[in-house]
Amino acid sequence: MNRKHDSLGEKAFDACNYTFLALFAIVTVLPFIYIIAGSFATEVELTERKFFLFPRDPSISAYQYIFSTDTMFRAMANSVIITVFGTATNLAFTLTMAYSLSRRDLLGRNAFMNMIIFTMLFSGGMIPSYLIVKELGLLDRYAAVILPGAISAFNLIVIKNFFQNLPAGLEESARIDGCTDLGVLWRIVLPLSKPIIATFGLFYAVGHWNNFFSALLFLNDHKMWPLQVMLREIVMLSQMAAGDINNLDPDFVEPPAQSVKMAVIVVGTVPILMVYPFLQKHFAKGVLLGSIKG
Amino acid sequence: MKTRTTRTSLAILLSAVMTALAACSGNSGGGSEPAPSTGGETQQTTDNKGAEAPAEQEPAKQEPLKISFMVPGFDPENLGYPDDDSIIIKTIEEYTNADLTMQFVPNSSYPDKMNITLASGELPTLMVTDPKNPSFINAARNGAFWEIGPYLKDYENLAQANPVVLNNTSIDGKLYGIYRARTLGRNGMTLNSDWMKNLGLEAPKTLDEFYNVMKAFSENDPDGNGKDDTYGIVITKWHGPWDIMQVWFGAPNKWGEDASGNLVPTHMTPEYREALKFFKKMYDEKLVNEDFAVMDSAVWNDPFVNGEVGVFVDVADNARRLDGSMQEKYGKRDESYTAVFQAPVGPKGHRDMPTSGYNGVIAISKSAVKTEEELKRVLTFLDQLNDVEMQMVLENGIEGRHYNMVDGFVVPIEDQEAGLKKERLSLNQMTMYIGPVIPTREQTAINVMIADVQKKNEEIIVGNPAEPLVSEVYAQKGQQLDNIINDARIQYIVGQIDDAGLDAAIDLWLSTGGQDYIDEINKLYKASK
Repeated sequence: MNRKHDSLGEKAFDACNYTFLALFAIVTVLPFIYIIAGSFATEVELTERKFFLFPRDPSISAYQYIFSTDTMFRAMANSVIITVFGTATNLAFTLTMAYSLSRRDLLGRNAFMNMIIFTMLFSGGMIPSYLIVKELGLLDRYAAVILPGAISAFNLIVIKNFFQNLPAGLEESARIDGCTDLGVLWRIVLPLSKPIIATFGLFYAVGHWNNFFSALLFLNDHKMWPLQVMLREIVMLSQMAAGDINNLDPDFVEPPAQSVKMAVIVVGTVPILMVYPFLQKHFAKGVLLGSIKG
Repeated sequence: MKTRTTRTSLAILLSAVMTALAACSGNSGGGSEPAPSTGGETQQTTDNKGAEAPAEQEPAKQEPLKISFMVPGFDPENLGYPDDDSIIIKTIEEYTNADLTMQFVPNSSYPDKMNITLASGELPTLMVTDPKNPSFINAARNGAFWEIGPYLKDYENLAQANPVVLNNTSIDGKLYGIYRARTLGRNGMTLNSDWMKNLGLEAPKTLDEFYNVMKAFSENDPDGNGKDDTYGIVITKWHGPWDIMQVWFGAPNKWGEDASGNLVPTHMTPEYREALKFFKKMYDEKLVNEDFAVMDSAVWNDPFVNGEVGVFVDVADNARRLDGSMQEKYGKRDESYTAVFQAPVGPKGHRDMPTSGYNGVIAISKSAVKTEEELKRVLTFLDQLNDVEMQMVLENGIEGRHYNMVDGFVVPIEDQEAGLKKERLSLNQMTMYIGPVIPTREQTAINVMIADVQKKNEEIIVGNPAEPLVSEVYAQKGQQLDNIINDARIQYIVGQIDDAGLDAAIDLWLSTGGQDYIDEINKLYKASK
């Protein structure tokens, strides 16, 4: 960062950049801070004050309330199970398939690629997917949420192109040393692909964490629902709270306490945010390809 | 043919026995293992014992009737839904001799879930559904559900269903579900009672008085703090209040008959224009909040509770919720902070908009209920749910646990812990409220007022003549058509367009499919007469 020849123009440009980015960061972070502050506030304060970053008299009653039944714990456990096993499945399938497709000597490679691209453009839609899952006997199993969409065509193509850009010489020299196909993938290709694995692992993980729809469709048993199903319910209910009178019979449905709503949002978002710092270092690191002596 | 059916039913009976043996524990699939396919495999959800196997049956008590029941779930605090072995469900099972499997679907995703359930062809025994939903209508026309119209008269409670509402929920004149009753004359006008006292105002009886009340609340410092910080009425982006108020002015409720007996949509009547002129005046004089078109309805109650605004046009029972929040904020007192009244009398007389009188219907699927005998058992189950005991349990929970009876009124136990709340969650979605009337909530001042308004409203509500008609055009383009009109109304109120602009919007509505919609509704209307 320590550059010597900054002209005035460059300095001004930098200043503008920093200001803009700082403002942008504040705009994105503030609502989140408000939600966190609101989850520690009392009901009265939430009706009175429009916006605040620090509650007047902090209380954890909202959190005590949502964790007083085992539902939240169970939903979190479900989310973690689906995310961990889902991401592992995604990566296993995507990486192996991408590597095979990146090999130019694969028979019928173009045919496979065309089939994959076809799925990117056309999909059967909700009802056919449901029927397939049902016929495979996956309903009410976590596999129903994990297996469909185990490989994202877009991610597959990006990873395949990355593999193709690895120097061919590496693989050749490994072969000369007596390495098998799997050995090349495991010992040479994957260690060189850490950044991309981290990136797509994160994409997949966040995707699983935020996915509520397939859980709703395929899991009838409400004990298996992940956190996001719950979260969405709260958000949707508070959006329609005043409209739709026929549905929200007030004697039926007590509108949620504002602070409880916010606490649920915090609980639903914070865990996946924690994943970022651990993967940060992989994003920052470049790909080391200096292993070939030209 | 005859032999074939007995053979099939024997096969089904056999497999039912086998599954019963295999299932061992009978009900309540434990924690994480998949429940025995809710609404799946017909052999499991049906029970042929009662129907056609007299030979090997002891005259003992009938086997519990297996019923899977899909209902919309409302879980605003994420407590989770009651399990199949929870206390209230057990109580229901004992009373009705049923083996009940509940399937809760979050309300916001209910239409999606219903579509795939219909498409999969394996339906739960009972499901709550909107009788106007196009995919339900298709399924019903294709024979996926029992037509129950002819049977209702044989059941003590169900026989008391309201014929008007039955007609409203029918499809092509046939009945495919039992409606879940709702208060018909539910709307009211809620005012801040302290402000009325401060300014010496009476309940507004006419539209002029209604206007004067809003004006006074806005300009005469009703809270006596010496600041000009109050306004008349709060409205959000939800268009309900406008719909209600335009009916006061004489505009029809969605559809009205013209002189020659044809149906005309409300926005093409002169009364509608009159109402919009009044709304515009309200806006111009700042009697309504300026940001109404974009205000989030989730915070609709807040300005009223915070003492910024004094009028609230919505369901009358919201007066109770507003009062509850204000009791908490300004201190408990016996007197209510709110007062609720009927609609003011307009130029066309005393009118108000009703709700449709129902919220969805409970339909019985043919894939789970094969024979007429079983259908009768299921109907008996539904009939029993309307008994006083069952209504009480579904609505209020268990006495002494969730509520107490005081002088014949229900008093919910306040501030229940989450676990107890969870036991009742969304179970009231099963109730139909047909037949006997159960004890009401305690008679606080505001509850008496609400009940009074809703009772009196029944005489002044204006029905929608097109309510029972099923429109294909609306199924396809309804959303779009409604948006054109609702947007134009907002633009007119805030002064972005004038009468010419409103005419242009109506022309756009007609050319987008509105004309087809009118033609179709009139064709159906003539046919139904």
